[in-house]
Amino acid sequence: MIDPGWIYLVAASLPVLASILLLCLRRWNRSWTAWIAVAALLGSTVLSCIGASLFQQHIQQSRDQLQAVQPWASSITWMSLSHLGYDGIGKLGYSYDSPAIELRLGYCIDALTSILIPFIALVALGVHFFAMRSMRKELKADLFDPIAHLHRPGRYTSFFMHLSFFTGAMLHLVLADNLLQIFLCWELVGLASYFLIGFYREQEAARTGSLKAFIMNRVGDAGFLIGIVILFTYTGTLNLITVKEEVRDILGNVVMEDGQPQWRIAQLSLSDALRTPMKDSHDDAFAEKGAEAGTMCRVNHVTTRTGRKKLELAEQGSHIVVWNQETLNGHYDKPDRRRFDAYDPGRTGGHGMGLRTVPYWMLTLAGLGLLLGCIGKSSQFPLQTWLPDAMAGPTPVSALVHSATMVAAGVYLLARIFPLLLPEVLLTVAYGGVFTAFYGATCALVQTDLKRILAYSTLSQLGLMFASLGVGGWIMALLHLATHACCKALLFLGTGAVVDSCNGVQDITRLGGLRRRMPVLAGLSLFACLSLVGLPLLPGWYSKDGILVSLLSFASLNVNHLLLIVVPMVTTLLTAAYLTRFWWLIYMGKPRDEAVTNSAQDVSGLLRWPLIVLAILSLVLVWLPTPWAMDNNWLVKHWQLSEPSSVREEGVLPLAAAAEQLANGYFKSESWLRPLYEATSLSPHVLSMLLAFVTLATGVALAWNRCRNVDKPWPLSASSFQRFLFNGWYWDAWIDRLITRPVLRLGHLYQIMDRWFWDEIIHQLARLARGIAWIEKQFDERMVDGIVRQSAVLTQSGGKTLRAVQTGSLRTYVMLAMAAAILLSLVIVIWTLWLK
Amino acid sequence: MTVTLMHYLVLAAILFVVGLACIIAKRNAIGTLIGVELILNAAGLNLAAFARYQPAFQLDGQVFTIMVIVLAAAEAAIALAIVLNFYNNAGTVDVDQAQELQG
Repeated sequence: MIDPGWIYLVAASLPVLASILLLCLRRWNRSWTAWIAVAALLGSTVLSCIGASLFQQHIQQSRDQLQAVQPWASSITWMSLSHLGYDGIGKLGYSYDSPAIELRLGYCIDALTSILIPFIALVALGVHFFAMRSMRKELKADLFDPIAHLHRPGRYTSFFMHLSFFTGAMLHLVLADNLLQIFLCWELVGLASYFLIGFYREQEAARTGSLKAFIMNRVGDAGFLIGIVILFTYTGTLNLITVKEEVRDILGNVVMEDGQPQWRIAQLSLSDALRTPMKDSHDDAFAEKGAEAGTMCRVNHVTTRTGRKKLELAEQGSHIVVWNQETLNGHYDKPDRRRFDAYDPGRTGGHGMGLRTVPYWMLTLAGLGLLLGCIGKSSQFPLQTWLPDAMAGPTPVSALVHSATMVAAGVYLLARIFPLLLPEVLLTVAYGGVFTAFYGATCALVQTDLKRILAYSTLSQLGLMFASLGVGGWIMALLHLATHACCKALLFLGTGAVVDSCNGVQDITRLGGLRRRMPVLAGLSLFACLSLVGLPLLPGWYSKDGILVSLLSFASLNVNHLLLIVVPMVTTLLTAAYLTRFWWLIYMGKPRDEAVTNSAQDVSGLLRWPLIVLAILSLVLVWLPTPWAMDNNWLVKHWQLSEPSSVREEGVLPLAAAAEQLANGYFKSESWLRPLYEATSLSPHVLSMLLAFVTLATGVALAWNRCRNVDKPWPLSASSFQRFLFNGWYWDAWIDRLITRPVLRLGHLYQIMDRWFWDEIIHQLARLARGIAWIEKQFDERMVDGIVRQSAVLTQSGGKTLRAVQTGSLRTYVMLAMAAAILLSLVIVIWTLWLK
Repeated sequence: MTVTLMHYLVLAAILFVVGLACIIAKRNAIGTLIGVELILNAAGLNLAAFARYQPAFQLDGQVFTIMVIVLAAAEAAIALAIVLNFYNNAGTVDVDQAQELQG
């Protein structure tokens, strides 16, 4: 049966096709070319929405049949690495009798992606519509670039080519079912981002910004590759989702069992490989020894008294069991053939037990590597500085690429590989995210460039998502991803409209009082700002509150990690402050620079509708079916289907369970929150909500108080602390000092070494070779040439001597002949006589 | 005294030496030609004498003798033609004047 997942495949491929078409058409700088990109995107939006509704039916059917919801997945073999097998201790190597390992290309639609793809397409569609209007100046054949001070032809078509390319790559990234394919799309997305940031390539800032983004992302990608290689080496697969295939008999008929087709695992998924299979699907012996299904079995290698090697389950074991494909396949075929004790590291994979182990630290390293990839893409600490600089690109790019989709890819990937991450890695994720959230919020507080404020805000919000993932708030992180994407895209597009109508001025201190000139935009921006701040009943409130609840639950269960809730609370305050400042300085007060704000006009037509659609979309995400019961929210219920089971089983608790646990006694015993709980006697959800509300109200009040009476530029005084925040904690300077300059110095050192050591050796060698060549030349000239020349000279002089005989006188000839005859006769006579 | 092969051979040798001396001594081309004729006749005499005294050469000797005579005639004709041409070109028949073939 072909599942309807191909609809998504087509949907994701349409923008790519559009970008190829636009590549051919990019010489025609006409406005209709944008419609190709928009039409393709409209097609993919419609198709993916159809796909989502089909998937909804699929879920309903599975529920009716009391079955687990199987993802729509299909893949083809891309490359076959034949005969790579595993020996007993789990090292990849050449093994003739092992089956070929395959790299596959495929798609996987589960509950998460079935909604995420139409969501991305919809946001991208809004941005495309907005860009059709806001990039209109690119249609001119002769365009003046005020920053670079030069005239150039407009690049309207090529802008949409890049934008389509980006959208296609992003959709494929979400569609991909294995890490390698995700990595490929990851790179394509990064490439598209590079093109888009550097779209105004005549400007210095755009060039350096695009390069910076590209290089920072490469650092992260190195980690990503390391993770991929480690996982592939030990598990032999990169698939995220198990692809099952039917068992067929010799005639090709599907083997049925109680009327149901019998399945076997064709391609093992990564999390299947590292976590014990469900109890009904594996050996009882393993289950009895305390290995729980869905957990990572930590084991030690022990040697028995008889000298046999075997595995022993241990709480703090140094290795983790890898269930390879043969084990599981074999298991499905013959349930009781294999015993846990029969593990024999001496045998090869084809014949042995098939149980391999991966060292714990190696898996930690793989997780950290993948995390580094996510950090690079999502602009988290310590690779965060590229995002503010990426704002040199056009505003629609900032809205789509650098707030709504690409930077969210890191969160998406982290959510996808969540089951592979060990507790240490998750803790790193949480602390890194919390720190980045705090960092971004403090930096956003004093920025004066509109887009840089939003960029720092973006990385702060992404930090919150990371933190949430780190403590197990899986769904809330993704929900925040969605609501944040809508609101931030809305803010960015609104900012773009403001900047365009104010003669390209991005300095917030020169704006102000725009609410009278652009009331609709002011209202929409206020909505987005308050949503991100977390005003109750606005979209951002639900997700942010959810994140805070997960952090609170985690921190109250692990009091050592108290910082994980304190810092986000402070961040909430700062977020409220900087977003209030942002909105207030643009729209409230009196115009600070009449020349700039005079020409401002409210958004209309193509500029207005995308903003309204984004606002409605963000409300739809959280308000259906009812705005007040989050447990009933359609998106949460939908995404719960693809929530990894490990979220519940690894000690990091889902919200509902945590809240219940907290309410049912944890508060009443030894928790640090006990006094607070007793004082309020409220559930933790309400508690965290109240805390958050108090902090955000404080933040708003502080910022409002600061901005209210100020008509002069803000910050008023450039203290050294403000400069510190303004320059992003001087992180660029630190990178420059700690990495760039030492690397350059090392390069200089190498240059000197090259010049004075290696070059010198080579020069001496060259001189030696020249000496040898000189000797050989002498030999050639004197000996070889001499022999040839001398023989010629001899022949010549012999000829000269002999020609004297040729007198031309007949009588001389005759006389000579006679003399010779006489001489010869004499010789013969004497010779004859002598012999006798 | 009977005439033996030796007598013939001695006579032919004398004839040969006379011819040779004639070639060497004479500067006149005609004289040189006469010397050549003498040498040829010495050879012919030898061949005839061998044909007479050696049974194995009975026929061959006579055939070769006739051949030599024919050759001598042909040679005389060609040589005289050369001499005439030379005379036309150089105005003399002195062989010492004909030195264009020197190396």
